[in-house]
Amino acid sequence: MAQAGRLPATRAWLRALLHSPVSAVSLLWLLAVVVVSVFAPLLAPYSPVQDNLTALFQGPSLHHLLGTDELGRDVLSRLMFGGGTLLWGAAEATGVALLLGVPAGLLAGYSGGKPDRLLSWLADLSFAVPAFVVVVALAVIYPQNVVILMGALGVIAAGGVLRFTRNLTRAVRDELYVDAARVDGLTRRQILVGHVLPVISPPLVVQAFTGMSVGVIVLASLSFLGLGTNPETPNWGQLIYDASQQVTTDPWLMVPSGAVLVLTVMALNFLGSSVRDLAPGTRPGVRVRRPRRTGPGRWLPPAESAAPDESAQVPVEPSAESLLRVRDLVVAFPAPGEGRLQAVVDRVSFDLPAGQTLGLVGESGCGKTMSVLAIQGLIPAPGVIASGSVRFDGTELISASSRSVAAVRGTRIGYISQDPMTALDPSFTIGSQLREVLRRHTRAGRRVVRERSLDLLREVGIADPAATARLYPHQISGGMAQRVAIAIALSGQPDLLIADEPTTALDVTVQAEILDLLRDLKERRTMALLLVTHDLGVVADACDSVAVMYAGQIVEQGGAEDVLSNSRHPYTLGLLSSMPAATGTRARLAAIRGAVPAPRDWPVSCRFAPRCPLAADVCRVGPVALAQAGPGRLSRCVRLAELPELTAEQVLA
Amino acid sequence: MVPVLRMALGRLALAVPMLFVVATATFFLQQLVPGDPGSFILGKDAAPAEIRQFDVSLGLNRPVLVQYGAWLGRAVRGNLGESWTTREPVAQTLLAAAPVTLSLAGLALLVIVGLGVPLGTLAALRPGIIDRIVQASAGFAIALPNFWLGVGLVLLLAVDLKLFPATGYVSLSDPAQWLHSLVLPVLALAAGMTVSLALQVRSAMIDVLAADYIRSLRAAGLPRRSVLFRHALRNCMAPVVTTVGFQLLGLLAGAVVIEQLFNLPGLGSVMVSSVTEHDIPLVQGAVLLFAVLVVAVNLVTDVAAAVLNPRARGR
Repeated sequence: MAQAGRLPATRAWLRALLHSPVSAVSLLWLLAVVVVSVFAPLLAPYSPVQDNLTALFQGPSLHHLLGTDELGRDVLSRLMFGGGTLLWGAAEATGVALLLGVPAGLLAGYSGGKPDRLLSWLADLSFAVPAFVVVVALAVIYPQNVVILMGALGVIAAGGVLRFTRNLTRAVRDELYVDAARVDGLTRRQILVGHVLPVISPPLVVQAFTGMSVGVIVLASLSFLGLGTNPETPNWGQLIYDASQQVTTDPWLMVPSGAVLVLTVMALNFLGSSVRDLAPGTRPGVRVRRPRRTGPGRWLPPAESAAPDESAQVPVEPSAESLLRVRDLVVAFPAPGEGRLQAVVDRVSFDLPAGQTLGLVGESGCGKTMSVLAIQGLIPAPGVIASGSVRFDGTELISASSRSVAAVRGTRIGYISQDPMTALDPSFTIGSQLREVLRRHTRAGRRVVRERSLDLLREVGIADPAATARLYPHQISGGMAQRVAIAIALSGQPDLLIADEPTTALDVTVQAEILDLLRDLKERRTMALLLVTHDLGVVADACDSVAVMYAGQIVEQGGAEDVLSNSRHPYTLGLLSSMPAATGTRARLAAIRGAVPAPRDWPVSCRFAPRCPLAADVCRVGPVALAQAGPGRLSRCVRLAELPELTAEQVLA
Repeated sequence: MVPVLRMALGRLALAVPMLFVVATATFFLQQLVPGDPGSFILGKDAAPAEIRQFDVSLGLNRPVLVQYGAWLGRAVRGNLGESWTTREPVAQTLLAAAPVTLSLAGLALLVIVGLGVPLGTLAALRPGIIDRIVQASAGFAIALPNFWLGVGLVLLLAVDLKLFPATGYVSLSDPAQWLHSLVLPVLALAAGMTVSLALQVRSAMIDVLAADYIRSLRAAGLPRRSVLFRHALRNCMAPVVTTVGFQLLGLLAGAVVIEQLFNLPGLGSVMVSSVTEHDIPLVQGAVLLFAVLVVAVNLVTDVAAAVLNPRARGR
């Protein structure tokens, strides 16, 4: 069953935990504290409470490794006795909180309805209780009774555990495997214990460590106040209090007791966060270690890669008129675990004349988005533009200062990103975001900016601009949000609009509207449009020319109609045949299997070969260059010459 | 703003029955006293007549429910009874002590937010030295108990360097001295929480900076400064406010220890001394006042988080 299947995973997980030096040391330290305090009567060189008035305030020596205190008691012995009670008290509070909170939380989260309302109210009630103060208050009735005081702390903390467990349970309640267990006729108890609890236990373990750490601090604080002390085995909080009374005479006494307490709390916290980082399914607390700036010089091309392919220099259109001219653009990221950079965009070249539309096509993971971000100088760290050239309206952008690239953004080049619902700042109204950008570009007065913002919204087809401007992004639909994003991108009156999958996240009916809008705007404002898409239908509808990307490289390039009606690359043919509207007149290939591999798995030879139905031995020999494939056409296929025959066979087959 | 107001009123309406339950539990604390209150406070060796006279004078010999009704009736009017030891009205004692605790917690909060937010932001933006310092010191600073730090500060800055007083409180009527008297307690209380808030801000900031809208705003031509401070910081604030709310509750608890350590006559000191002196009415009053503060902090936190997060509004 599920439990049995999970056990090896748990063991692997424990191994991983012990593998990390910090958590292994933390675990060892806690174990040592427990073992030493249990066997303290045997291990400790002296009694923890025996006075020795002939040896007061002795510093560390061979007889007293950590010295003696104001009554001549051996500090080391007192420390050895004092750790266990602290951990035991914390464990009691944590245990009580979990024993009460977890079952109640499971019940509340799983059954919902009345039990949920009642239990959630109890949890809310516990949040109104000042926990530490109540524990202090209980000391009036139960002075020095650590068991009752820490138990009470556990009861109050159970409210938080209840809430936490309930929310976790609710999140998995409707998962398929839980439904399946229900259909199988398992009882509620079996489902909760066998299927829900194992899934939600890693975050609960994290909570338990946090609880332990808080418990240790609380008990130490109580003891410091003299309310949770045990004269027989004084815990570390008590020792710190005793030391604080002598601090002017002998400051040293503060050090050993403080150090062991800090180490213990640190060990618990470290273990908690290691468990969180290791737990399957939970988002690890990623420590983004950003490398120092990596200069272009450190980019190492794959050893076997071809010499710069001359044919790639053949422009699709005469470059003199091009508004945007990209040459041999390489974007690279540090390869995980290796010192070298891995190219994710590999020597990409294309031209976009003013007023025209270029489609950049390919599946996700082909490097389309990185290519267009590179044009705008927006490659996210730790990525870098390793080499190449981006000339915009005659100005080189790659070597330009970040300030001058920033000056181009918004004013000359506008950008629309993929998901309109995340492209707008959720904390500001639509109007205020649009006005902020407009103010930046027009430097006009408040009223003018306001007027223009409403005009822009009207221009992108929003019926009631004034009302829409007052809304927050979460209050409008995806299509509306995309219109707003377009309005923001247009506010600097750019000459080039880059639209990165502008319709992918939208409903089918809205997709056509947005595409129409982009085409209209392009005509009316005589902008160039760089349209990133994986949809060849969009290319057919809107583009003058097209560049097809696969695994970081351009594999086919040419006029849009030309490429669509007479493709010269198997990848493009595969994309075409996966279009629902594709008709039988074209050469067709079976829809491509699999997905784009991760950059580090890209083959040195033809990168598409592993997925290509036409791949032969010749395709796996070495890198393939972009070759002329007719007037204004480029294709990166070794079997280019045989392609018409091969595709005809495929159609017949 | 109207939905926020409605939400605040709703939370307030929920808080009233909760405080009622807490108050009731507080009253019944007295019933846990072993034997009768007279002998509890006067000691077992006191003359029976004396004990009886103590109980009668305070109405402690009446049936429990009658006492409860009377106590509750007075409590809602702000009368929390009188201290068993000083015979002063509990409310008056608490009111005199409250400003000390609020000064301590308020100043500590200023330090935590004033240092924690910039530090965390810097750590997120500058992956170099600041980030490493914040990361490396975090585990230690969070684990260091405030009372240990307090003793250390007293030794270093009060005893050795004589920069600040080791103990005592000066009221707000002399602002300079007031601040001077609170520097060490505030530092001891705030240090660990400042670091933990910085960590929280750092991770929230890193998350927000990776968001699509940050890239879109930069692509639209907004300068980096305005994207960072107007948009990124603003979007970090909702999770941060929730954290700060939790920390404020931690400050109230921490104040109990720190007041004791620095001999500040605040609510925490009243609490601890009334516990050691078995002064039940004062303990009850203090617990109730702390509960009111906790409820108020939770309410303010929720409302602030809602104001900062348009999506949480008007649910």
